[in-house]
Amino acid sequence: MRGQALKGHLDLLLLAILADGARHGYAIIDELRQRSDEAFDLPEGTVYPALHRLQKGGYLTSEWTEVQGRRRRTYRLTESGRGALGEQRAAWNEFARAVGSVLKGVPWPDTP
Amino acid sequence: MAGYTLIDGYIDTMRGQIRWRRDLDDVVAEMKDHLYSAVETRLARGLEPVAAQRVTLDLFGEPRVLAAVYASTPNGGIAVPTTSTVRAGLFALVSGALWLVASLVNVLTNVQSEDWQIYYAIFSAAVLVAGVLGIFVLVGLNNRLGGLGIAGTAGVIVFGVGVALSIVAWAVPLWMAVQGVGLLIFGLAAMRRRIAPSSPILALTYGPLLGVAVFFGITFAELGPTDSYGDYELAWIIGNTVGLAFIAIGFLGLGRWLRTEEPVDIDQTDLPVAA
Repeated sequence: MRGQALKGHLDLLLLAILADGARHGYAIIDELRQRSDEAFDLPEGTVYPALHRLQKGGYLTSEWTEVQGRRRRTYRLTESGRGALGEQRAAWNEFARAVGSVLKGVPWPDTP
Repeated sequence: MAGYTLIDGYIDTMRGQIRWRRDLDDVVAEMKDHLYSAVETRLARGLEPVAAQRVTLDLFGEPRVLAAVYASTPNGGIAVPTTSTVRAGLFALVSGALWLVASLVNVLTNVQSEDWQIYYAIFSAAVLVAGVLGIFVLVGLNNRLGGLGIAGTAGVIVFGVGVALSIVAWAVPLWMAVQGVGLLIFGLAAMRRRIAPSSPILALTYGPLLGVAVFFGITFAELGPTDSYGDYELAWIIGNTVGLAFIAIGFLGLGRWLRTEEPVDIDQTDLPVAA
């Protein structure tokens, strides 16, 4: 699936992954890949500006630690982030239900 | 910790591409942690070192694309230094110096009874040229910040009206108030971007209107002696000088920042769709 499919939904996916607990960037991206069965092929590096934007918006906090001689930033969901996740999840469910209703009953075309 | 030549080369390239960021070291450290972690995972799965690095870099993205994403703003603009923003920095330095001259000459005009006409001529020329240059500075700053939308455009237009009014140089509180409103609109939008250094932006956003407030505060409090026009001398000396000095500080600070940045070559077409 092209990265274009993610447009507008990346924030929701990142918040959802962090809802299970704090993670550093690589672990977040790895989890995103695993949960989506490697469906999203956006450049991994583009996830970091999105994380920074969410932190700037108050949805995430981060802290630095040192692991194997490297500095590592770990992100954690804030209360505000948890609230935003709930709202965005509800909006997505509503959207998916509406699209599903329209498609229901429409015969699937033969796969070429 | 082993070094990875390809990864280290990539990190050096990225460091150059996003060198304008104030949090450069943090961004690079985070990138390095990701790339090294990914390579170590692939090595543990049995990949050869060079192959592990190549796969990792392919998945991470091209430096040019990532640099554009790091520079993108909420309204879809690209906030990077360019040759035109560096040029705006030079204009800002000249403008700031002229505002400084104007603030000093303003004092001399009001305290020297002799030669006041010469001082007034210098003052008139300084504020007009400084104002016109200031318009170019705001346009350059607007570009540097990735575009401030309606607030940026409105701020520049209102400031420009104030500059036009400064042809009547002696009406300082009038044109400074108009310029101040323009700078307030522009400055508040610029502050939200958190890219430009805060001190000069603060000086430009609130300084001119503070000067106008001091002017009218002294006038309404009827402090000190009045001149032959019935105006309060302290209002003209202190109020106007405060406003002029803050504008000078603001433009000089912006000039120092914009002038010292190295321009980069990134445009809108480098942005990936998911950014």
